[in-house]
Amino acid sequence: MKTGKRGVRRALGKATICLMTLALSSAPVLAQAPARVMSLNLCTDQLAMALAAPGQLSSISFLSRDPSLSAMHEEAETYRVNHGRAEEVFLENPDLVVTGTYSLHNTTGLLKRLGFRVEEFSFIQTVETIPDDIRRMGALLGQAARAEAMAKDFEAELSRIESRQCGKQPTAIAFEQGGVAAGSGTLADSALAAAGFRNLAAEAGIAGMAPMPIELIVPQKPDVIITRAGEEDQPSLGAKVPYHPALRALEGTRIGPFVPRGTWSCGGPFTMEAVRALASLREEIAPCGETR
Amino acid sequence: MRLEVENLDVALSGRQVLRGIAMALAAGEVVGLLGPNGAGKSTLMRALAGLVAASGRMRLDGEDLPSLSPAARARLLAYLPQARIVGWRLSVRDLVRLGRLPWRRFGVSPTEADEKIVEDALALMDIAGLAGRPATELSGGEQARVLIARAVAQATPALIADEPASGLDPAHQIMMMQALRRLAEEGRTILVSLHDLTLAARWCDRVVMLKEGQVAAEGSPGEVMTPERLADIYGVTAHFARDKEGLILAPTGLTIAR
Amino acid sequence: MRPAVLNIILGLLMLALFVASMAVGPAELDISESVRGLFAGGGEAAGIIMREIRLPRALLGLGIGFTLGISGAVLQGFLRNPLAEPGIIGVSAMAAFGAVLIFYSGLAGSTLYALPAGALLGAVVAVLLLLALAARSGSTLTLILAGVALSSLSAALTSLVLNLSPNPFASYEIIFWLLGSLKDRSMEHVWLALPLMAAGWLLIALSGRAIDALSLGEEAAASLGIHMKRTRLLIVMGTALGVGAATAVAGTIGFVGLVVPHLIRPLTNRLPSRLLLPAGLGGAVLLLAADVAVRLVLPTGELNVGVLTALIGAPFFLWLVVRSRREVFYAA
Repeated sequence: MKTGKRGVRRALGKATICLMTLALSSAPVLAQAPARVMSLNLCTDQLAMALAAPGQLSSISFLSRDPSLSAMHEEAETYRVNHGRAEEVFLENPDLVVTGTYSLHNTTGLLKRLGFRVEEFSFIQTVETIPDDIRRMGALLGQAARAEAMAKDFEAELSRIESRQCGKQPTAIAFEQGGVAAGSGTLADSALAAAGFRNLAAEAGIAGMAPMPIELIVPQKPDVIITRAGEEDQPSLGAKVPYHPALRALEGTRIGPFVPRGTWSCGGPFTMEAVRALASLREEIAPCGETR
Repeated sequence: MRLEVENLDVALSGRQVLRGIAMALAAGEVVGLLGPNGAGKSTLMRALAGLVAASGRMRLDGEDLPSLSPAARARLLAYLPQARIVGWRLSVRDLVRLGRLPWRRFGVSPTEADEKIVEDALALMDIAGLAGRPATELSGGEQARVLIARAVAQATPALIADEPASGLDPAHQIMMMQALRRLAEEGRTILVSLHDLTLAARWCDRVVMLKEGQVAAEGSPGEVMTPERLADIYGVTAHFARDKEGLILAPTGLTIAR
Repeated sequence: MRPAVLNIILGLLMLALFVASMAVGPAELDISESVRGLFAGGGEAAGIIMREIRLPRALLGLGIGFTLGISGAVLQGFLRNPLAEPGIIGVSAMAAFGAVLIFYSGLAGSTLYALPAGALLGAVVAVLLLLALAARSGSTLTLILAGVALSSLSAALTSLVLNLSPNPFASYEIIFWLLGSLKDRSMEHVWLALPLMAAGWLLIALSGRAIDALSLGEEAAASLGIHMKRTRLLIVMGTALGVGAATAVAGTIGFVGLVVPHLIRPLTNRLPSRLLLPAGLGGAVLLLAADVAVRLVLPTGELNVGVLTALIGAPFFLWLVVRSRREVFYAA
């Protein structure tokens, strides 16, 4: 059932990409790869850094240098950073601006009115949409071949991991910043599903990121509670929520940052590390009994 | 108790308010403190109550006043400020009972002895009938009597009152002086500042007259309250009369020198 | 009303609301489950929920409410002004700023102890500033104006620190600090705050005689043997300890210290010392009731409890200002 749905979605996605590419390639102006690209959004930064040719990416957002948010924070050190402001775009004068649909929409509107070419990527990402995002970014940057290879690798490993699932599905809850839980429709939710976990937050009816009362978590005794990695030197009250004594009192519940930091803040090729980590965790907790 | 003051100096905000004040009050005396506005009467009383810094000597029955703790001083000397403050719509009895604070240990409720002293104070100031009413609902004169009763209830050997008679009707002015006399007869030392010259002349054993921060005259009313003195200190002319009780002084006009 | 009767009634009300607070929550537990969970040991879900989530919340509601009520009563007695309360004179806001500064900057690691340490620091600084001001002027008006300035400054600095903190999402937590919440507090918070609050209650209780004497004004009070400096220290340290600890674990909760003494005063003989205990109990009643309400009023999730106390308290404050002839300190 799952394979079927995803297969249809993938097919639809591919069809859309084909149509888009046809449409775009029919416009002679856009046939060449843009020489200067500016990325204003953490997630578009990641995709752009992964695919851009040397010198093509003029600047990325400052958030990409934060190790707790960005899987590619080391690469980010080699690029110039911007703060997502219209004046910065104006001064750098890129051929293409990539950003997210949700962030800085005032700025986005202004940039379009000023005549810049702005491509927006949806902030709703799942493991299924990642390959399409990779392909789209590749098309935009004129790196379609590299993108295709990356996307194919991702899809291949994803289906490998999914095929290793069996009936046993341990339960999990993933906490994001501010002590909110990742519910249905989030990247974390899709990664958990791919690795063979049941997301208790999604099952409780939580959509997107929203607080989940601890009283509702306790009776369900999740097998795993995933916290945000890399928060040791960034104190916040929200970081303490997963470590509430009521949750620590649950026997058999593991609490920890099981997912490498920055790998599921955004969707990108590195998100596979998150799925991998979760898959091996699942095999540890509820082994299937089959050998690879 | 004998209250002695020697060489008292008080400076406030850089200004010398009192200079070289000396006086002695014996037990059983009612002493009137007289003088124009700004002469330093209130400041002198505050200094005795320990509320302003003063140099010089103040002794009560030989004990150096400034060296006493506030609690110890409160058992020897009761001070009635000029400003009349009654807070929180407390009942008259509760307000007067506050005078017993220096005698009550922490956390202990008032004893029967305390209650008796409070009742006596209420009766002395003729406010027993108002005991249960909120003090804030009373007239100014009634409130004044409540506050005097509080100082009386403190049952101290010495009582210092700053203009307690102002705002009282004639009957209650006289009743107040009668009450102070009665307290003096019980052995207390009373220092009271007054503006009414007749009251001072008829009810005080001695008067001390201040002018510009210094003692200008001191002695019995008959000796001290002469027309020349009044002209010098107050700048007024007065009509003098006498009846069998004592002097009657009515200021009639300003002296030409003003 | 006789004091013993008033205190017993308030005490019983407080206990009833304490039980009610323990009975409310997203997990639907029936009474027998709740009671069993509370007293049994072990890892049963009901037990964990009762002991680790609902009990600390109810205890903090009680303790913080008591602290805010008694602090409001003592401040009104000391400043001789029925409009005084720890929020208004700036202690709560400075405590929140102190907690935020120490905790979010990472200066003390990210241990929970950073919070009360910072909050007490903020409260003590507020207190020292106010003492210095009171020593200069002595006027109540100046004190309250200083408190208003201090509150505004602290709120601004709190926002600044949160914006500048290393955690990019810290600024979203400002709602907690400015509006307060008892959600998901744990027994760790209880052990952190309750001893400090109790110490504050003790210091405040010791100032009882002094605030009674102050009904006659400062001069008469001093002449009755009250040590004004010592009293000032007792009251200011008592409120700093209590309000500091409360703010450290629950954010700023306002108006309890204003509303409760005002409502309870007519039921006593109005001696300021007699108001202390009932105001504390009344504060506990109010905060526990508000904390129950915030969990019931929305179908899912809950409001910040400071929102509710502000919704009750701010109109009440306006009404007080308009009807200023009632409950003034001194009727001329």
